[in-house]
Amino acid sequence: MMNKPFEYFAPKSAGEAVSLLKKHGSSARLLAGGQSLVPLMNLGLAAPRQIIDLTRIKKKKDPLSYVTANNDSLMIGSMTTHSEVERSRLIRKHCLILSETAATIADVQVRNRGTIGGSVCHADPAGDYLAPLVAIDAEFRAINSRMKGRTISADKFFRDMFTTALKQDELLTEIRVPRQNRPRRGSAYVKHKYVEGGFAIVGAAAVVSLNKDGSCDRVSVVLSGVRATPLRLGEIEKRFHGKSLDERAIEEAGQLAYEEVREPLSDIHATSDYRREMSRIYTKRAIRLAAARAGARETKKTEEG
Amino acid sequence: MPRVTVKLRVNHEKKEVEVDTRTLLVDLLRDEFMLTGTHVGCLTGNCGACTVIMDDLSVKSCTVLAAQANEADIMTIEGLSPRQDGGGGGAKLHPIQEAFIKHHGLQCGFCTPGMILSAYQLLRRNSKPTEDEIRVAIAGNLCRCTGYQNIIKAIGAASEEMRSRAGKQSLRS
Repeated sequence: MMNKPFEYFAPKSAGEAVSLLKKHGSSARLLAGGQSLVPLMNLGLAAPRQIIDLTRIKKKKDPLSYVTANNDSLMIGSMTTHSEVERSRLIRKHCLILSETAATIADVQVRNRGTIGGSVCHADPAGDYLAPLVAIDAEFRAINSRMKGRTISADKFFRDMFTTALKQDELLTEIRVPRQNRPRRGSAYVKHKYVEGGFAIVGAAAVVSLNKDGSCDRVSVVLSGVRATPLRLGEIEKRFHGKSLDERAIEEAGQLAYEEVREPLSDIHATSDYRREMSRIYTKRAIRLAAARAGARETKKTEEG
Repeated sequence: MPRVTVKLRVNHEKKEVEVDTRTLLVDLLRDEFMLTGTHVGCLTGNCGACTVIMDDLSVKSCTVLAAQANEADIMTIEGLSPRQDGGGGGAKLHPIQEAFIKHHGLQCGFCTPGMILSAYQLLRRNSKPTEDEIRVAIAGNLCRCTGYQNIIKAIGAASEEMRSRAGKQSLRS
């Protein structure tokens, strides 16, 4: 059994949850799906004094688990599970990259329990949602203990390893993502992992928008797993505006990724050099797949992939 | 030590128990209810030996606090084989269990309860899975003996058997 005792709270509403957060301060932890926090507690790597369980909220009339849409965006409740993100018809239709990402997380059991909000708040540098959410310009809605809401852009949300922009008394309630199913737009998330369902050694999210003549209007690439926070490859965005996204351009983009990813993370799964090389490969794969989905003419695969 | 009351259904039986807040669902099942078919492997959500069905979804019970199972409906491996009255724990094995025996889908047996419940979750959603779909479905369950091939065969055979039984049933009615 875990070493350190803790008090357990099961608030029925988001408001109750944030007032508990305010009351107990930094010794308390919010529990969403528990797929990271509970193992960390089992290992003794986390020992909160109070656990505030959010799973009781979603079933009541103040839900945090939902997917809705308006003309521009999808709204995803923070307690929506990875399985729900993977299967949601709305998400599959309007933001396929997110369903595709959810399907690569861990395994069925973990996806049945783990939540999109819990995953982004945990902010593991190798977490799968990070790169795609930054690439598609997602927004994060949070409320604080005075029930005041604010919106944080994905670019500003991830501050450091396991650290987000959320304040002590704030609760993430919703993730908003712009609809992606526009004409001539395609997006893709691909990752390099050491085992099926493993964390991303390198995860690459690409969004490609083409002009009517087939040239590139915009290409965004964001990597996870290489830095403490998702890395947006700004050089690639600048370089290809108005140009053709042929195989030579994709090759060049891979090289730009390699140059921009200097001294990436190093751990037991991959050295820094290896991650850098994989950043090149997976950047190319992500752009190639996104471009094909945007309707670009089939680009030829080079030998190294 | 802070304690918490948990009311739940386990294999169709109502239970109510007060436990230390640190109790995991897997500890609750094994130590309080003596349902030791659910195994403890890693305690980190990797191995899948503790897989149970919670509110119709497969979960790793070492990553769920007992307190979180309050008001939940849990099915363990002991509840899989149907009784005459519709409850679990009958003498007759479930077709998935039979297929694991017939196709040698187990050796030491440690991973088997979790493996079978992952197969159960798959076949509830998808009565005719492809081999790839079977592989994805058991990605969260580690087996160190079999090399997985016979497990995959067993699940495929179970799906056929279950479809054939369902077919006969619908012909009768």
